[in-house]
Amino acid sequence: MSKSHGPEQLSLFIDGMLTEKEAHHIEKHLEECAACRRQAQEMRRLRNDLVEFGVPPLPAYLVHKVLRKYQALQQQPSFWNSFDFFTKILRPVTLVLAIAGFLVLWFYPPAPDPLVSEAARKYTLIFESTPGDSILSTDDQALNFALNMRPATTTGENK
Amino acid sequence: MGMEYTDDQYELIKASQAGDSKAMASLLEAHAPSVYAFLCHLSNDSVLAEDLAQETMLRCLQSLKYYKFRAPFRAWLFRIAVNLFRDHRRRMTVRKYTRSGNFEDEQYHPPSTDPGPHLQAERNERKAVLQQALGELAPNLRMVIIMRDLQELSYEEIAQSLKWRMGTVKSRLFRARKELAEKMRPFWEEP
Ligand SMILES: [Zn+2]
Repeated sequence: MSKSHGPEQLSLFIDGMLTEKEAHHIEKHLEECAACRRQAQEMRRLRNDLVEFGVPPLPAYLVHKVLRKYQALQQQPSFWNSFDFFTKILRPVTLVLAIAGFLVLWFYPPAPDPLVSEAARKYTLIFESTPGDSILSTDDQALNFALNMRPATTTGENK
Repeated sequence: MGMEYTDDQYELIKASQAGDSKAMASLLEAHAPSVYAFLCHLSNDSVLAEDLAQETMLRCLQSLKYYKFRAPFRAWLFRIAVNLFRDHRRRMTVRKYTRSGNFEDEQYHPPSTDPGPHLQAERNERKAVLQQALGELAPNLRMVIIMRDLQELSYEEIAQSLKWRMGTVKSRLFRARKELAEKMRPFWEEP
């Protein structure tokens, strides 16, 4: 092998993978170098032998078999398909449960906190008995009412 | 990389991706023979090759929707075959690639004019020697020389199938040819 070209060049040459210039260079080299000439010849012979060695024919049924198997697999419910099947059932079930829950709450509302209803009752009484503006018009008054469940009378009077 | 590999089978592949079973059949008919032959030569076992070819085709159909024309279709398909073959080898590390004689019972020479009994015998012997020499190559070298010299894949298709850089394809192909030629030389030089 001469130093003017890498060892792979010969292999590329017989595959027609070299540029015109490179190929021309190799051709010239092959005229002079018996070792490379022989190597190139062997590589070509190898390819001929391999081609002659032949290609085993495909068993006739193979493609048909693959297609049938593929179609069978497509139809078979997979794990995710079965999951999908469950969601299809779960969705209406969830809807029915939600409606039932709503109806129960509608007809049997939870009893209100007795403290809260007491406060509401008192507030209504006081509010109705006080003329003029709401006695809870300031934050202070509202806070006082919430704490003591009675209105703070106007400024400073209850101190 | 927006490049798309659109070969003459573009329409066929598109139709197959859309679920057209006739297109799928044509696509398989077009490619199955070379996949099977590749696996035969690679494994030197026609029964195994048939199994692997079948599995390759099946996976091809199942994952066809993921094929985005970013590589030549043949390279994409061969990649599946190569991966299945590697998986199999990993499972069967003890397996030896000797001339099992599996092909010997099957006549798969290209049909040619009958060369007569003497030439036929000589050819069979040549075939057996080559088959054995091929089996003695390292799997990577065997793969690349089969793809190039037997299946006539382009360098680029080989690079894509095996996920090798172009330089690796070139150097391994050269090494495969050199080693195989060395193994065949004594036989060629016989008078
Ligand atoms: Zn030289």
